[in-house]
Order: sequence, then structure tokens, then C-alpha cells
Amino acid sequence: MVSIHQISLRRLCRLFALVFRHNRHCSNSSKNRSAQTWRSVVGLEIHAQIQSESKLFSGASTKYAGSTNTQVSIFDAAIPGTLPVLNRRCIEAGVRTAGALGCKISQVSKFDRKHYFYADLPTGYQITQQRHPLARDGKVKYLVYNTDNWNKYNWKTASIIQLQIEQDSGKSLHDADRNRSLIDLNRAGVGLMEIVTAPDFTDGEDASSFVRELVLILRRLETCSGKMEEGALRVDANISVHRPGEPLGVRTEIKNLNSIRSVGRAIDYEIKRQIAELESGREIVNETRSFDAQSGQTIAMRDKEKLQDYRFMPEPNLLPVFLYDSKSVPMGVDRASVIVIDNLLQGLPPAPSESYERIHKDHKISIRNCVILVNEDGLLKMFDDIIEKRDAKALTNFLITDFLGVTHARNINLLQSPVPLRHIADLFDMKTDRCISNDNISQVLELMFDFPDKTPAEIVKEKQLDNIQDTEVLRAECEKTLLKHPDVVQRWKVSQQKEKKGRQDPVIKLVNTTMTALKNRADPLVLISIFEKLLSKK
Amino acid sequence: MLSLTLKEVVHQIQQGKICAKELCEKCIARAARVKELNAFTTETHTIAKNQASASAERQATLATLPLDGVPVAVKDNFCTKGIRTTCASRMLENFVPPYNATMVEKLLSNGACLVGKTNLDEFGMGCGSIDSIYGPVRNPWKYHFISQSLTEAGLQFGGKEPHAMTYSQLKARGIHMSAQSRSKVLRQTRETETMTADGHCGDDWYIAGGSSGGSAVAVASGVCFGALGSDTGGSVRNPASYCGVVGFKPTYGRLSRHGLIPLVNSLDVPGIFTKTVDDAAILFNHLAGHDVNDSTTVTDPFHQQDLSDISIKDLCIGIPKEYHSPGLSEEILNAWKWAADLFEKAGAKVVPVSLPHTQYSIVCYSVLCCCEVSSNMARYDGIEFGYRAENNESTEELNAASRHYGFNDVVQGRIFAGNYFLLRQNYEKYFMKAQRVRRLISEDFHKVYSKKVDILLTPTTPTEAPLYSWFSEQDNRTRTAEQDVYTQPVNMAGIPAVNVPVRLSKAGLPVSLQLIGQSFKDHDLLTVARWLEQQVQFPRLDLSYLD
Repeated sequence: MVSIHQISLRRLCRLFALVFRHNRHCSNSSKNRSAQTWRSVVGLEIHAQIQSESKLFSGASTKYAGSTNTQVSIFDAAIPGTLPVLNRRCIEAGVRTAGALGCKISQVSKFDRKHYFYADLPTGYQITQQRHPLARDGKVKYLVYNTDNWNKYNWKTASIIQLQIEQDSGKSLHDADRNRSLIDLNRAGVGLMEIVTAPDFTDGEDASSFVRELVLILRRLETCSGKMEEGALRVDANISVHRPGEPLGVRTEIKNLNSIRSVGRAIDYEIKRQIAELESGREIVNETRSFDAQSGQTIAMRDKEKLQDYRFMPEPNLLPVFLYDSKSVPMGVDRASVIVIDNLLQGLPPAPSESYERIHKDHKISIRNCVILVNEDGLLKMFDDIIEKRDAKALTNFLITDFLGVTHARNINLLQSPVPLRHIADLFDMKTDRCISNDNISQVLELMFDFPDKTPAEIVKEKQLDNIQDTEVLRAECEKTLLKHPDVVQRWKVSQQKEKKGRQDPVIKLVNTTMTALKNRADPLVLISIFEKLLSKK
Repeated sequence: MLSLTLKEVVHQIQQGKICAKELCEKCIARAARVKELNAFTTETHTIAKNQASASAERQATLATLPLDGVPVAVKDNFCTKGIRTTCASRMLENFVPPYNATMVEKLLSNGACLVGKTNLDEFGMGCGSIDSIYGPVRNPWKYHFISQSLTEAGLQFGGKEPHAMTYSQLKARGIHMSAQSRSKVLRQTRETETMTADGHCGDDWYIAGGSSGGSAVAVASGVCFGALGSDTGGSVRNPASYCGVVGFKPTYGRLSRHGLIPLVNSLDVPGIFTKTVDDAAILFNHLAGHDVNDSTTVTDPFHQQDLSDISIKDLCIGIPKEYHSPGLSEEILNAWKWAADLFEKAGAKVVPVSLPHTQYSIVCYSVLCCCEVSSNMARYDGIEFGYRAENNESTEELNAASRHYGFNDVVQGRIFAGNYFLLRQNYEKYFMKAQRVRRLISEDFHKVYSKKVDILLTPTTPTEAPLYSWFSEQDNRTRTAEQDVYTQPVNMAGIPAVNVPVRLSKAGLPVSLQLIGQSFKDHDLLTVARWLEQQVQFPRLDLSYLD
């Protein structure tokens, strides 16, 4: 049925292409008009590997980057006579994810076989959930933003059509020189959640923002690592363009986008390509394309699937997956042996969009900083735990600039940080109370990671990193600086006579010199006031 | 010793009256004597001897296992670790599984000795056990053994196989390796033999039935005391009927299919061949139960149960009127009436019942079977295991060539049909409709049982064992449609059924009947079967004259 539908769409498009060409001859302004009036429609299919110890239907490990063909059970290799045994953990992960995506979770879902021959698909079929998926009809609110322009952002909601559980395939390597194919089955049979969205996106930025949000959701749930660079989450994008008021255009599918950046670039390229094709009177072919990240272009794949009939059939070796509400567990059924939806959905972490909104509203933090706080695992919790009555903007800056600066340099996962939260809060307070200069903060932080048992106060005292509070000492040092730099003093005098604007420059120069001499153990503001007093006497 | 029942053998081994090693040797010797029946694809005599030695050691310490020293055979579609498992197909001729099927594991862990893997129709697709790359299986009943005639003629075998010694003689008798198999690989061989196949005269033999013909023959000919088969549409009960042994197809979900190379997953059930119903119950007791490797096995605990004598008085036996079909022979019909009378005379209520959708079972089966076959066979692509063709031009070419040469015509035909039925535009029309019809067939049985009928009594096969010459006149599909007619609906419903041989026909061949029970009431069914068996006193085949 779908193919007939597509053919008629293609015919329609050809018709429109003709009409359009005709118009072009009549109107000189058509070129301008066309560039502005195309609408692009994008839908996504996301394959997220389920974070589980073992595969969907076998006990083999799912660890990434294992030695070739070492994580293959006899079932994964399709050895005759083997049967699938459902990994309950994968269904639970699917239920939690479906819950977080606002889906309706099916009390009964079923597995189907999807047939096609491919060397890295040992059984000749993929076990998936075509007709009765685990969940349907979800909604995800997400923030559309562009890291190049933080002022331009907006909230959108995308619809999830369905979430189904299925098997991943193996990997093929084609050795063209020696005319052979090599197959690694380590990935074959790893559990996947296929998340299908409605065609709700308009362009690359929109779609990639959604994927970013989804990755965050999955990582918070710990149902998928979201590591796109490891192939743990791959995106297929369906793209078409049409004119407003006209039916949707013929779509192409870009397969296996493996970074958020690629999602955005590939979609934007494909939209431009389709518009260019249509504007030059050609038509779009319903085909599968791949994205070459180096050239930034999409390329038509050798398309065997266009007329492929997958000959879906129910998987006869698996019982339907029955899920229960805690109230609907039938009498006599052992509760421990069944999956109870509401139990699994208890204590789901809040959606990232909720977190953005909360901290943006409650603490007036910029969207950029909200995004960083939320995206960095554990950082938002740290913020929430420390904030109390403290200044939110200052704390955010401290966490993002000072704290992340050190953890990123040291490649430390925040969730595994050895430094007690109390010490971090203390350090922030010391900074706020101007007990320690900004320039010494990172040094203190480094030492806190080296000696997690010591408080910042102890470290600062031991290593003499705290600010010198004795104003006499400071003034003496400032006077020394003035004596050493008469030229700067002279410049200050000149600036005083001319215009007030340039007044600060020489002072800052003096402060910086003094700070270095004091090994940064001073509050620059205090130094400024000392210098202002000293200079005014001259 | 080989005429004993499994129960007797178990008893005597436990008592130390029979030595496991000696018994094993006797079975191996008998296997050599009846080798021309072609019941085995692979003989595992060395393995059996080692297992028997281990049994003998346990006998010495009196710490025996329940089936210690009992020689058994397993259909060559159950995976056996380190022993090739071929499904009688070119495709798996070189396939050595890395694991044991649960059924095999249970037999071996209970002390049984595996004497060999038995012959079958390729991948279990057939009802004559003649479509095998190893050639057809022959029914031991009324069989004129060459070994016997040679001995009579004063010839000695020495250590050589009768086949090798007397191949020209075999050929002269119209016995050839692969009449029905249309595998391209075999076509050439067959063409050279067509003359003899068509021109046989008098030197015909009876087919064993199938597809588990090898297992039925192994038990009937005394090579072993129990054998495993698989029953998808009657593949255990049909050969049991023709070979005069008990063939038990338990309730779907009672025995694990893990390691059974599937024909139709939703219909396949491991089945048991033995000489008596008691023997079947013993094996069933040791084989049944939940298996974590097969999600379709039931999880409720299984309790071993010995069969006890029962009073037939409270029993209600149903006679399905639809089973009086035109193909039913006089001989079988009479035996059926006779058995019904035996029940009635013993006080049971015998009532006619109706299974109105039974007539659609065969056509429904052929759709469902082909669909699952096309899917199950998709893994045979010449890459991970099995036959790989030489063609390396591309993966597609390699797949196509491997499948073209690896499968016989019957398998290929079912794959084509199945793929057609599963096409998007056909799915509703064929597969879905067949599923609905299947439910109706299944409901027929449940309706009958809900009306206080305990057991159904029916024929197993329309006739006694047919001659090979007659059977091979028609193709596999035609024969399956006529042969499976009484057995096949049972698989649709997943209920248990057992073949019980009841008497000999005028031609001296076994005449058998089928008893059909209720879901998970396997022991009740066997108890009634045992009663019938005791009444009829079927004369079992005795081939001791060959030893």
C-alpha cells in the first residue's frame, strides 16, 4: 500500500515540477519566490542500543570494542536449533524510556521477524516489533538552540509514533582489494530501541536539537549510553520538501548519522539539494542516501531496499510480552516474575527540558549556562545541592569555568569525583568572600582533587594561596610597584588630564604587576582602591 | 535381549542382570544386520560403547542413573555436540553442532547410550522418509533382508558392510538411494537408476513412514529401546503406525525444542518412539519440564508419574465422524471399530463427535508450514555454517548458489510458497486466514473435550504401510496431504496424541490407531493407551533370527 501511495506522490510531484517550470517562464521573480517558499519536512528513526549487560535474546556480552567475534553466543551466530530467550532488562529499559518519552505503553507487545538477506544478519531475519510495538504516541518537549547564537532559541514539542524493541545486526567490513567481506558478530543481537518520530522537524538545527535532547533523556535514564561515536545511537532521517499548501514531496532517507553535528549538516544539505533538484526541473527519487561527513554531502546508496518486501511474520519462539499495572497483576501470578509498569516508572528522572525551564526561571541563569549545567552529567545536581541562598550566577560561573575547567583537563567524570561536595561549596564561599583570588582558584581545585580529604581552607593555608588581608602589607607592595613603574604613573597623570575614560588602564596595569608580585594572593579590588588613594596623592 | 522392552531393560540393568556393555554390543551387532534398512545417517557406535562403559562402571558401584545403559537413537535434526547433525540435507552435511539439544542432554545425563542419528526426510519435510540425501528408509516389516538371503546362500559378510558387498544385488532388487530427492546434486545419480526404479518387479519394500522414519525403524528393528523424533504434522505417529511401534507426541510446551532444528516452530514437538506405552511414559518422565532455553515450554512444575491400571468404566471415548474419510482403508476401519468395541465392552462410553474444521487442516497447515519454513531456512546462506557453494562473485551469488545446491526441490518449493504467502499483499489473504482457521481447528477439539469427552480414538494413517513403488508415484506434497490427514489437526491444537499398534493386517503389516488427549493431560492419555495396548496384545516384530 505504501508503495502505491509513493508512486502517486511521485506522479504528483512530476506534475508540480511541470507546472513550476511553466511558471518560471512567465515570471521573472519566480526564482526569489521559490527560495523562500519551500517547506522542508523531516522525520527521524533513532536506533538506541539498550544499556544492558547481555544481548536482547542471548547471554553474550554487549561490551563495546571487544575483540572480533568474541561476544557471540550460538544463538547470535544463528546456529540451527537455537531459540531466543528474552532479556527482561531490555524490556524494562524500553518501558522506562517509553515512560520518559510520554508514550502509551502496550500491555501486550509482540515480536515479528523481518526478513532480508545480508551477510551480517546470520538468521536472515531481524527480530523486531513491527505490528505490536512496546509503546506508541509519545511527546517530547525540547529546546531548539544553536551554539553559535545563544540568543536565538525556542521550545518545541515532537511526537513519537512508536518505540519498538529489536535486534542490532553484526558489522561487515568490505575488503575491496582482496575481494572479500569480513564479518564481526559482536554487535549482532544487541538490544535496540527504535524510536520513530512524526515528521515534525523543519531543518537540521531543529532535528539535531531533538536528538541532543533525546540523548540526554536516555543518559539520565541510563537506558542507553548515547555514545554516538561508538554507534550506541544512530539516526536515520527522512526528508522531503514541498511548497506550502501542496502535498508532501517525495522523501529520501539518510541512513546511519552518527553524530549530532552530522544530523544537522546532513539534513540541511539534503534539503538544499532537494530544492535545487526541483528548481532545476528534476524530480526527487525515493531512495536511501548516506552522509559523507568530510565532504558534507549526501550520496545515493546502492538501493536494494526500494522494492524490498520484508515478509513480516510473527516470531513463533517468543511469547507476547505482557506488562501489568500494579493493580492489574492477576491473582496467582508471582509479582517478582512479571514486569509492572508503574513500578518501573516510579522515580524517573525529570526531563532535561524541565530542568532547563526550572533553573532558567528560578535562578535567572542564561540559556547557554542552563544547557551546560544540564548536559554535564552530575553538574546540575551539584548546583542544586550547593545553591541554598548562594548567588546562582556566581555559582554557575564557578562551576562552569573553574570546576569544569579542572575536571575536563583531568578527564574526570563528575559522578565519580572524589572531592566532597562540602569542600566545593566551601571553596565557592571563599571565592565569594574574596578570601582567595580567581587566579588561585584552579590551583586550589587541583590540590583538592589530589588530596580529597583536605578542606580548601587547609589547602589554602598550607600552600599559602589565600589573600593577604593585612592592608599595610598590601600598601607597601603597591608603593613598591609605583616606584618601579614611574612610566605608568606618568601615563595615569596624562589620562587624568585628558579624559576620564582611559583612567583605568594604567591602574589595571599596576594591579596586575602587583598581583604577580604577591603570587595572586590579593583581591584586585582592594588593590585598585589602594592604588587610587596612592595615586591621588601624587 | 533385544526383544525386551525399555522398562525391562532398565530394570535388569539396575538389578545388575544385564551388563550395559554387553547390551550395547548386541545393539551394535543388530544395527549391522539391519543396516540395509538405512535407518541411520550417522552411527555413533564408538560413542555408545564409551557411554556403555561408563554405565557399566556406575553399575559396579550401584550408583546408576535412571536410564543407565539404555541404547537410544536420535533423529538427525536434534543437535548433538561434536556429532554431525545433517537433517538429511546437503546443506548441513558438514554441520557439527557445538551443543546438545536439551532432549539429547537429558537422555545422556540420565545415562542413555547414543547408538546413532536417524534418517529422515530432508529437514523433516515429508511423510515417507524417502527424501533424504542418504536415500530412503525401509520398513523392517515383511522385509526380505539381503543379509539373511546371503547367509542362507552360504555367503559370509566378514566385517564389510552389506551395502558395499552387495550393491549390485541391491540395485537389481530396485533399491536405490534417492528416488524422490530432486536435489540437483543427486539428479545425475538418479537418472542412472531410473530404469531399475521403474522396472522393479517383486523386489519392492514397504516405506517406513515419516519424517522420523529412521527412529521408528531403529526401535522396531531392535537396534535401540527408545528413539527421539519430531512431530510437526504427524512425523512421529505416522512412521510409528507403519512400523508397529508406539509413537508419542506430547503436548506442545512440555518438551523443549532447544536444539531441535525447526520445521514449523509453532507446531514442532519432540516425540518419543518405544516398543510399549510404559516405555514411552518412562522416557517422557525424564524428558519433560521447563527449559530456560525454550520460552515456549511451560513453567509450571512437571511431576513424574508411573502409569497405573485404570478402570475404563468412567471413560468417555469420542469417535470423530469426520475421520471416516474416503481414503480410509477397510483394514484400518475394521481395526478402528474393533478397538471402539473393546472400549465399549469394557464399560466406557463411546460417542460420535464432530470436528467440523478438520477438513481444512491440511490446507491450513501447508500455508503455515511454508511460511515458517521460508523464514527458518533463511539462515542457511552458506556463511556461518553448512554448505557453501564455490560462487564468490558476490554475497548474493554465494547465497543463491549455496541455497540452490544445498536444498532439495521439496525444501525449495516450500520456501518459494512461504515467501509468496508472506508478501505484504498476500499476508492477510493467506497467513492471517490460516491462523484463524488454525484457531477454529483447535477450538473443535476443546469444544469436544468440554462436553465430557476424555479421549478421542482415530486412525493414525489411512492405510497400513504402502509399498515404496506405489508411494513414490506421487510427489511429496500430494503424499503429505493424504498421509497427514488424521495426525495433522492435533498439531494445530497442540494437544497430545499417541500411536498404538493394535494388530496385523492380512498382509502381515502393523495396523495402528491414534489416541488423542487433552492439553497437558499427557499421563492420562498414556494410561488409556496402555489399557488399549494390554487388550490388543500386538505381536511385536522379532528380528532375532538375523543375529
